[in-house]
Amino acid sequence: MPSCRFVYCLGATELVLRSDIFSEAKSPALTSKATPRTERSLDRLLAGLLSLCISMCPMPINAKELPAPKARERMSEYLIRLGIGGEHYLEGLCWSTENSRQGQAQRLRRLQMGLSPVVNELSQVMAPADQSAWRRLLDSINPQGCAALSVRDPQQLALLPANDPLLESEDQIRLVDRPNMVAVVRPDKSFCGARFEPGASVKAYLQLCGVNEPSGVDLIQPGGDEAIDVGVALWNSNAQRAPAPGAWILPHGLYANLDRWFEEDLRQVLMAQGAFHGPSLVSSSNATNLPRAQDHADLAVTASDWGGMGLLQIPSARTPKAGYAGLQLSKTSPYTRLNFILSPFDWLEAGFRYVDVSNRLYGSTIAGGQSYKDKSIDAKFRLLEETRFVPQVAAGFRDLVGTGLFSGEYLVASKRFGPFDATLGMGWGYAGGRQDIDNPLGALYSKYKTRPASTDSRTSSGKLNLSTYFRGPAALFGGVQYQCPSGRWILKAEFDGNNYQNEPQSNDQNQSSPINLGVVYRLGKWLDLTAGFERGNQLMFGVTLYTDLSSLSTPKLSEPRPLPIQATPPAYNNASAPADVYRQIRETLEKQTHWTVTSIARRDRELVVEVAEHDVFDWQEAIDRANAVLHALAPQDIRQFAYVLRVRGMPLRTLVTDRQDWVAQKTQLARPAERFNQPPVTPTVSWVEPVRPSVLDQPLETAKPDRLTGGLGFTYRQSFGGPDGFILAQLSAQAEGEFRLTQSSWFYGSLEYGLLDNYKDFDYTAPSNLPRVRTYVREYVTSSDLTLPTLQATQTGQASDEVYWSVYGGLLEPMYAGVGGEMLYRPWQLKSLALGLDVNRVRNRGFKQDFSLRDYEVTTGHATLYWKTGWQDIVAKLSAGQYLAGDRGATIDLSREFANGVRIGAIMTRTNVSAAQFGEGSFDKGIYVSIPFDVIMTRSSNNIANVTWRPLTRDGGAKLTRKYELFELTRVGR
Amino acid sequence: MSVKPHKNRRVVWLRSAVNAVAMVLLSGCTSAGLSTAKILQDAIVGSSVQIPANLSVSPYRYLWAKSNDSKALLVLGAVEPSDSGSIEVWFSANQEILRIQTGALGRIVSTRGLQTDWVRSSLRVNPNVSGSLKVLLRERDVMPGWRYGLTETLRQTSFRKPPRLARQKFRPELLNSKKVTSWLMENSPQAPELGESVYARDAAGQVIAGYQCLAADLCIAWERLN
Repeated sequence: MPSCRFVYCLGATELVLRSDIFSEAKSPALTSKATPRTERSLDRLLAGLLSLCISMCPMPINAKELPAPKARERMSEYLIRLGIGGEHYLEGLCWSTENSRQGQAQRLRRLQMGLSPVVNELSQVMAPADQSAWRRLLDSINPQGCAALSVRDPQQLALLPANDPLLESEDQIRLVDRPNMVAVVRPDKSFCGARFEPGASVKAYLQLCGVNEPSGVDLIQPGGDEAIDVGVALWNSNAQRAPAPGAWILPHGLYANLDRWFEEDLRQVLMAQGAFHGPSLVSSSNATNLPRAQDHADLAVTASDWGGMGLLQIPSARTPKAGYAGLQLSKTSPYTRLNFILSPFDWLEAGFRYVDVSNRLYGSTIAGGQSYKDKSIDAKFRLLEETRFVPQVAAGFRDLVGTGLFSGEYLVASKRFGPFDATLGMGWGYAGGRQDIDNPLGALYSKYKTRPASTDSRTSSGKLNLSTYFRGPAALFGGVQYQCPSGRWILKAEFDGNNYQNEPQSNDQNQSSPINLGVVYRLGKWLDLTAGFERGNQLMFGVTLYTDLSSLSTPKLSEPRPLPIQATPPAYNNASAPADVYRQIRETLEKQTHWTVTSIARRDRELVVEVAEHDVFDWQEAIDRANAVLHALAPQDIRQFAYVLRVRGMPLRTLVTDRQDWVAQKTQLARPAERFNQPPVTPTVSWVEPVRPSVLDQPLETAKPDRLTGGLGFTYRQSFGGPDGFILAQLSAQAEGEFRLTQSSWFYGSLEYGLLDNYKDFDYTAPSNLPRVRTYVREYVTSSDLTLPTLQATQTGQASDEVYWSVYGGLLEPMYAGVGGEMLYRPWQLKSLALGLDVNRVRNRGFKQDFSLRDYEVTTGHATLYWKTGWQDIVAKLSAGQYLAGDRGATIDLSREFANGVRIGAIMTRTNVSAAQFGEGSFDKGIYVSIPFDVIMTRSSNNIANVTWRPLTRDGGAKLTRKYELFELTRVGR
Repeated sequence: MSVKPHKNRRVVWLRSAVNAVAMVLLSGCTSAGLSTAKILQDAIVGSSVQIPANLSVSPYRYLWAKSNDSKALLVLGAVEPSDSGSIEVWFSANQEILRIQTGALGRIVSTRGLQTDWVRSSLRVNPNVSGSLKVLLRERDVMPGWRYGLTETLRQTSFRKPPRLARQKFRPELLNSKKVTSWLMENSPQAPELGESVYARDAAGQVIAGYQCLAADLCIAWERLN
């Protein structure tokens, strides 16, 4: 039932209600009671009067255009001068420049042109009625051209000059009073103004404006800085922020059949409109019943008993967000599972597991009374993403390449209905242990009707059991989870696909009920506690620790405060500069950046700083700090800063900064014209080719880095899942030192002393059919408490701008001594590619890790291609060559690198050694996480820790561990 | 000096401890040599703040502020006019801003740069309530999360002697000061997560120090030093 008929021009300088373009606003709140005809007439009369009143006013009643600023006046100074402060609704502040107004007007014109009969790009895909509705809506917009401002508080702007723009006298500044409404674009392409209700969700405003639930909306808060995609339907509702007074809501689905540019342009136009304000048209008679933003929560995706996302025993089609890492311990007698799950992509979860079978022995001859341990690898791939009508679908594999004891596959679908998430799937193998339905794939291929026996032998385990996947009888499974509004409690109920009557190792279990019940309690965003009742007779308990590796970071509280950046340089020039200014510069640089500065020289108006070593991960931050030092201290006639980066004597890159541009960037907010229309004339920071700076032969300041460096620390190593104990671990004290002969040649050594270990239980030496290049682990770690893991001499050099080399010799790693060399071709312009070659002649070291050597000797080396693929942030490292056992083959290392530098990867090696020769595991493989220390330390660091899990240590496909790899040495931060 | 983060800082401490353990565990896996002792030293952070001597002759006006274990000295940077009296704008060395209303309604009315900011807030006497118990109406906008237009009532109780909360949160110098003639406790039934606030008033009824929670995990005690 129509309650009012409005559409009006939108904008702060003009607000005109025009009855000819009014649209109908239907509000459940207003239409809940029949509106008497007289009231409707009154509505129209009032609207007409309001329209007349406002159309006569040159300015809207609650917006004021502020006086023109002075030329080159700071926004902060301008606002303070006008007495505008924290009390004002600064979200309603609109700063428009000639350029920002033109930009928005162009966008608006492009939208209008797309709908014009002459250039009717969209006429092919849009009904005439829709076109005219769009046209009316676009015509009603009076472009304001508000430029983005990330900080609006004048006092805060004064503190943060990089956010404080310099104004020009032709700029226009407007400030609206706090609006009392939120704008919703209706499906009929009209604007609806709903009265602002504190805490009300997007859904509430959609209801008020009579917009039937779209899948989602773009929410543009009044500052207009960003459009947030908000899910509002039952299947995609997510945690959301309440719209603030003056916000805009654009439902998705308005743009059906429209090109993406139309949608994007409309969004941009509204973002540049500033806060929406006008008379409140629609309000609720009972605001307390409106949906609240805080009631919306993201779908809780939690781990099953197997570590992967799911209910209890059964998996769901959900996968965690990229970057997820979870460590879970769960117990349902007789199985205790330790699961480690990683998610490198939104569409993939993968991990490994140790299962303890409490009522079976590992093997009385090798492990005494230790219970059986099984290792396995899982993977789940998301095949379809959930939409309004389509469930999320995934296919998964359990015990993919292990002994196959628990191997199983499944296809599963999950669909969300508000707080409920329902799952239905079909499992094969262990995942469908009930085996109560024929395999539907058997109708297509008869070989799918039966499942070949699992390859449960020590020699063939570790292979992909391709011949068994999705074969044999299957079982259906399903379940549902309910998440409480607080998001802390999740209740789970499932129908198990396994009846435990076909358990491996003849270990069938009694099942009193196929229904499993459980509850998860989420403690913060890092710990889930699960309790359940499974098989109708067993209690289950699980603990899951999890984190998002992609968002790891630590505030750099140990770093010195960066020097403040003054708009003007020091008053002195080169001739009048203090005598020790370059020494001051070097010392301050070293303090601020963790660089070792060896010389400072001057070339015309450029100051050249040679950096011999660095311990920097975030180069942007380091360069900003260095620039701040140089700008604060370098004579005013210096126009450019150049940093020549060297590592181990090898010049890598020269980094150049234009002083004036950099200072401008750091001390004022770029005007819209500078931001959008034209790139800066000179990039403020640019990488240039390495230059051998002859200028450094006449330095103004020099320093020699320390020749002897070293430190004390601890080191820890462990192995899991062996027959002598589930965890064998050692904590050692470590001393390490380095002595530099020159910048490019040095000795490095480390000494370790075992402090704590449980190696007294370490008895088992794995059998091997190959030269024992890695399987004498026990002998190496138990023969002596005091060891000398490394003592080597290294020389590096540069053959050309892009070719680096190194030679080295000595005790290269705990198990090998010898000599070797490496060359690396790193074309800096390509950035994504590098090619390396290393050759080593090495000999097995004595078990005590002293200077003794054993008989085995081998030549080993690889050609390695390093490739940043540019696809889904995947980094590939492909190497081929001869391995320690003399076997030849190739290693593939694929990883996903996140923006913070953390990588999740997998590694696999195949050589000319047969699976039988290789032994248990069939071939070498592993999963790893690479974590820059920078993300976990309160100071900057360039070190990276690689934590690799390999199911087994075998002799095939084993590489020499080299202390210094040129690719890593020449890496410049991220 | 930073007002921020007593929680942030505490979290950083906690995380530093966890990180220290993680770094020991990871130190065997590093790509290059690294002294663990150095790492441990870098993982642990701390802060301290000292009240400057000769405050009476200082050209600056200082505000002492404390949130849990984090203390800071702020400097008065500006005074803004408002409908309900002037508002002092205090700056910390970490570029944080506290705006404090002057007069009888002396409260933190706005902040910038904290982990939870009150973008703005306003106080007025609730005209619908009469009697001995004074009831104020407060409206505030909170970030992050765009929690705008939060409206709540504040109930006030006066004391002659410093209540226990005041004894816990303020410097002994303030508690023993003759300038403080009465204390005011305040809470809001609509925002129980913010707990109790307490304010020290002088003989003219002006608030000279306060302890106030901006979020469940962000409470700030403040006191004008000169």
